[in-house]
Amino acid sequence: MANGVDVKILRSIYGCRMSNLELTPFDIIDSLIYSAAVLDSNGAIIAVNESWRRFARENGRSASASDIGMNYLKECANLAGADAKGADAAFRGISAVLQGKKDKFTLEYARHAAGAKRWFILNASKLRGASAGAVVLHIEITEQKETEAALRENARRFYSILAAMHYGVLLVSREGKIEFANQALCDLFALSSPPSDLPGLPSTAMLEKIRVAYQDPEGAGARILELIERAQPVNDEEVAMRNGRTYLRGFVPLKIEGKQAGRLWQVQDITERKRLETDLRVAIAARDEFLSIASHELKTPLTAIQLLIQNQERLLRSAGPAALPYERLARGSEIILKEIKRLAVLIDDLLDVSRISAGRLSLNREVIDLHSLIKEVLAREEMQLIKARMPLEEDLQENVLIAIDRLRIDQVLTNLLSNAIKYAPGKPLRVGLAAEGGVARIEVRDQGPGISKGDQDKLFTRFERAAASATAVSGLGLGLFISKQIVEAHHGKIKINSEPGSGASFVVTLPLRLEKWIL
Amino acid sequence: MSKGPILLVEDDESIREALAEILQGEGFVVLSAENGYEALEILRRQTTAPRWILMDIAMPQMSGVECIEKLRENLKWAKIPVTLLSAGARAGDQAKLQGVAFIKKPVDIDVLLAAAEERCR
Repeated sequence: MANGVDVKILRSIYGCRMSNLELTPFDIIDSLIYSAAVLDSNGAIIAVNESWRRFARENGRSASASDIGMNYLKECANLAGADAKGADAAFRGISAVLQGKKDKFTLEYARHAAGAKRWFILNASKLRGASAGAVVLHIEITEQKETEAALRENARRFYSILAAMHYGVLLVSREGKIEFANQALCDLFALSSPPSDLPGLPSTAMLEKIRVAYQDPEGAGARILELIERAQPVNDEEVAMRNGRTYLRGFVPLKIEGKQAGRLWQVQDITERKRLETDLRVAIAARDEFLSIASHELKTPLTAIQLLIQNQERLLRSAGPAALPYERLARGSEIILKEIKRLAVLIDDLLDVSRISAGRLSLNREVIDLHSLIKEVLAREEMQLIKARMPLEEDLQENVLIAIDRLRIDQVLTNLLSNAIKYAPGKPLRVGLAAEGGVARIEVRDQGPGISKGDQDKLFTRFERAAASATAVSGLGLGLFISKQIVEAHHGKIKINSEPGSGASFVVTLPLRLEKWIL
Repeated sequence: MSKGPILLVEDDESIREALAEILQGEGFVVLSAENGYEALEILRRQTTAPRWILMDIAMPQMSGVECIEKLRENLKWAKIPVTLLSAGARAGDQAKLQGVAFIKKPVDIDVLLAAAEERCR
């Protein structure tokens, strides 16, 4: 009878159709996948199921040994070592249930064997009915634990990716609590707290700190609320910050299976990128303007040549071979030649610029006397200086031997002189040369209108011509850029000293190191 | 027998020089100015007014149109015939440019010389 069961009672308890079954309570508890034991009021085991017996065998107890009669509480108390704390908790918990202080007790514990980690839940509940005692279940939860660990690992990887992002990331839960913020975000908004302290804070507190970092906190706050309200993703919103920088903000409302699951903000500092873009735009505009000036400068001499050749032709046609107007033809040819030379100079400048841009400015160095070269250039420009009524003052040291590209340095000197003639006619010009401190120092000083500090910066750049000169003087404004490149290719320097109204002094210094060039 | 004088106002040195050379070769006296300001300066200094003003329309300092406005403010200069050198038709300035002749660029020498002869006859 101990094994018997009244089917009617079972039916009344469970309400199921079991009329055809011969069932004992042990059949039922043996079928459980949990290890179950029934304890009497003292904690002695009075029944165990098949799973319990199997579990006991797996834990090294002999197959024949029976746990029946063993006091489970003592067993718990005797457990020492690795799981002593768990065993103690189990002892106290089960005792409480047996003493009727608690209806149930649950404890999660680990039992790791070599090569396998296993987790269990111990569940003790008061035995219902007349008999005092308890039912103890051991439920294996290893699979759940592994799944949880895998999920935690996934989350950890996910957050470590967000943490490593070079742009700021802020993850806010559906309830408006911060779930995650990375270091980049804290840096962008000068948040002093470490990112790991932020999760759990209400995002409104964070929002306040972030808001004040914007140049227009009111507008920024309103916009952020609007974005949250609208819940539409925004990829690239440029915002001006109080620290003078420009950030790019992205907003992504997160959805899981169509339901709101929080929001993701991403913020990036694009100040540098913006600056590069602006620089590029300025450079392109300067180049376009240069192209327009260059076209005009090239077109002008061509137009003049065209006019003059048309005129020559007209003169030749109307005069006939007998009475050629020699004087006028010769004069026309002279001007045509001058214009052609002018075109050639412009084209040479353009070629030099393209050579410099391509890094193909090569030097043919030879050892020469810089004094002689300067005298040569001055002699060549003498007529121009006289025409421009510019008295020349020379202060030239003799015998300055230097290894330079004669033609290129000639080009630099010619450029400096013709600039002076262009901009400072009618005023004295001083040209100096001195060898001192390992360098040759050439100075060309005019007494023209001078150049403002702002324009001085642009003077040596490509495609720039000081605004003041753009009106009266033609040319591509490439001369000083080319000169600077030539001087720097010689490891020298070119500088300007000038104040508006008091002339300009251009100083070229070239290293004198000869040894390298004399074999 | 010299003809003119003609006041030539052109900012591009090459073209100014070429036009002056061509006109002088035909016996015209040519006064050259780089821009409107210089042209007005020459007019102020000149005792005999030029017979004709040949002027580039686009100049960096004072444009041809601005210069014409200045000329019209002065009774002595208002009647000097003006011809503008222009690369194309310019809308918008029509009212201001009433009575002003145009020579289209690129300049045809025969047209230029015919106009010069006509104005300085």
